[in-house]
Amino acid sequence: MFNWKHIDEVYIYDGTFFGLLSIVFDSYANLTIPIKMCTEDDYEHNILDKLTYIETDEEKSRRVFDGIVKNVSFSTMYTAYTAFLSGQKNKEISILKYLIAAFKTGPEINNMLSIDYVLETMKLRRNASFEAHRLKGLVKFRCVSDNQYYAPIHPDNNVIEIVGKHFVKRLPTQNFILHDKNRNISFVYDTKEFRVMDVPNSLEIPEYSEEEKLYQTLWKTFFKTIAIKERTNKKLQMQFMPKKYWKDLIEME
Amino acid sequence: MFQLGQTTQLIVGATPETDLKILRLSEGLYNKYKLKRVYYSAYIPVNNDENLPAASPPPLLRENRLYQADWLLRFYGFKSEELLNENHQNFNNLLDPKCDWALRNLDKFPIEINTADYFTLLRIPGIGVISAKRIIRARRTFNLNHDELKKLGVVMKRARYFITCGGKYYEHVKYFREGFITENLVSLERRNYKLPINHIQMSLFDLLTPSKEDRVKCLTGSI
Repeated sequence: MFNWKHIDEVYIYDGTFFGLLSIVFDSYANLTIPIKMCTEDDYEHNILDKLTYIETDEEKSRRVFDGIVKNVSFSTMYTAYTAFLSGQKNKEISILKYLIAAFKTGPEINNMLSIDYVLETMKLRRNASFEAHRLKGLVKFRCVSDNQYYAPIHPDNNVIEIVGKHFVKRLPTQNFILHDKNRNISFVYDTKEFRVMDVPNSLEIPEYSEEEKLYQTLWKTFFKTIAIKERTNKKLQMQFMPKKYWKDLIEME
Repeated sequence: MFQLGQTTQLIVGATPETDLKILRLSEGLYNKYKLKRVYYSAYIPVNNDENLPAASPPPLLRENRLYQADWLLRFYGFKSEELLNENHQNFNNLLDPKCDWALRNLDKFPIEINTADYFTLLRIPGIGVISAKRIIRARRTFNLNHDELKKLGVVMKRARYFITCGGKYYEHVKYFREGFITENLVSLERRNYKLPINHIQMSLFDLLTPSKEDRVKCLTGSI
């Protein structure tokens, strides 16, 4: 549909969503698309690649953000942002093309599912938001000290903020920490405000109190008792509660 | 009549009702009483007593078929008399209710994906609520072909027998004929549900059981 100009370069950016938006700003006029885009850490050296280091320009990214929301639609921005949270590699190029195309076509872009990069962006979004939705039900908080709750998670996508905000609404009077062990970041809420921050490697979880252990046993007993032996359906259970999350579930230990 | 979402549960298999009766009952509950859900449970005896129905393996497949039909009533615009009637009082074990309906109404197919309305799309086996909505969205800008349908999430292994895209029938399907389609759909369903296969594996030697005289000949070496 557009005359994309695929250039033989690899963009190295800072890995933030605003970094991606400032590239949208620069690529918009000429429709230049790099062959690859990644962060410095993810980059695997290849002697043939021409590297271009991209500085995040807040002014440019702000203009792209406002432009999309004003001229296209908020849901387009939301789609791009949620897709960006995906843990898949090489997600950036699809989202970049999607956002540039959105400026040109307007809100219609979300209907053009037969274009491969639009469909790919939609898939990334669906994958990330579905995982967030699932985790909202699967997160199990443990009481680690007085009125302090802690829950480890291992999500494929970077959804800690979506999940965390859900629990801020749900449990506004509790102090809690969500810990994304795959990325080593945490979502900390202290009944007033929340923050997403890195976790020091030396983090130690204090041993559970007797009361907490009692509640864990109660929960496990409930889980076993409620099951109807004749109706066990492992395949269905694994559709709702995939095995990759089992290590964080008290009842599956 | 009711303010909140009311639900109910039917135990299936303890009494001799047919699927038709059960489905009519749930349709009535949905239409007249605005029930939110009807749940179906295969009967599993808790105690053994001579006054209770005899214990047999719980009819789980039947329960599954009822749920499939229940979804067709609530989200797909089907009516109970379309799915079952006095001649077909029970669901087909080998086919899901929607495929079964489609094969009995093959004159309504193949359906053109790029022009059919939403409720017609929903009647195609392999297309559900989500993929029907996606098709409607996607075809506003471009006409769709078979490959793109697959990308949109349509279950092509079922849908390909019942659709055309831009007038073209799926190229790897040889015939638009009932027997051919039924055979293919049944074999798909067998794989999903591990249904028993009723025929016996034939062996060459079943046909050629040697007679007593032949055995003697083998031993003595005479022809």
